[in-house]
Amino acid sequence: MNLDKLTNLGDDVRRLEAEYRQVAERARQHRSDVSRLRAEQDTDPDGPASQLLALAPAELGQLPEKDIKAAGLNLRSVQSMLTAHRAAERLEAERLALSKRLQDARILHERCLTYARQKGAL
Amino acid sequence: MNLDQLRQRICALQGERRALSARTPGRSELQSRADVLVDHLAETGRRRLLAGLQSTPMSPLNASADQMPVLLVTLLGAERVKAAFRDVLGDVAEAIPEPERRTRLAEVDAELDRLERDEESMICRMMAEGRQVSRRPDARPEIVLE
Repeated sequence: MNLDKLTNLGDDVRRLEAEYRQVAERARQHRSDVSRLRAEQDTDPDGPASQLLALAPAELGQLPEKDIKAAGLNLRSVQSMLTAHRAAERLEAERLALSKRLQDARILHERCLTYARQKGAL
Repeated sequence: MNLDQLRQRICALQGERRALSARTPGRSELQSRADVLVDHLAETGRRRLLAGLQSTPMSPLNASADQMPVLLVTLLGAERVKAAFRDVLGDVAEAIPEPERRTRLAEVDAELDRLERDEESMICRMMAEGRQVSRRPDARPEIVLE
């Protein structure tokens, strides 16, 4: 029985766990940036700027720049917010894919460990 | 065959193996079972109907909800109900005869062994080339750790 492979499978799980934690943290940071940039916009709660900020990011991104400026929003800040949002979405998709790979790797590692124990190799 | 094609073939063979192992009854067997059931219902219903006709007051069609199938088969006639069941069972495939099933199962197992070993060799080669590749979670440990 090739026990080196069993060790490699364990290493794969640990590498994926580390990668998963890193991606999840980066996604969290981008989401936090979106919230911070949104909060930094000094808007009247009943004004047009608040209405624009209440839009889904995809809708907000579709608005012409002049509408954003006309509502009294800081264009650069809105663009940063949208960039952070897109990055958070991309990382979230990456996190989900990693989660599946990690789960698969854990399952296989566990099955191989059980097999090796049953065969008395451990 | 590349890795994706190998895995598709493995997945198809695993499905075929499950179906062969499950030994689901085929059309003829289901038809025989249905015929026995219908004959039983018809006989039970005939006796109940007769008892209802001979009772005072006469009440041949008095039946609780759970006795309705019995009454239905008796009134429609066993042959008509059997024909309706045969019609429905026409969609079911015939079961593979036992010797053929065993032969095919052995062929599937042999092909699965070969393909899963090919898959593991391919994964090891790709990893050695520094490419990122994941194993299937249902890969067989005896092959992975070989």
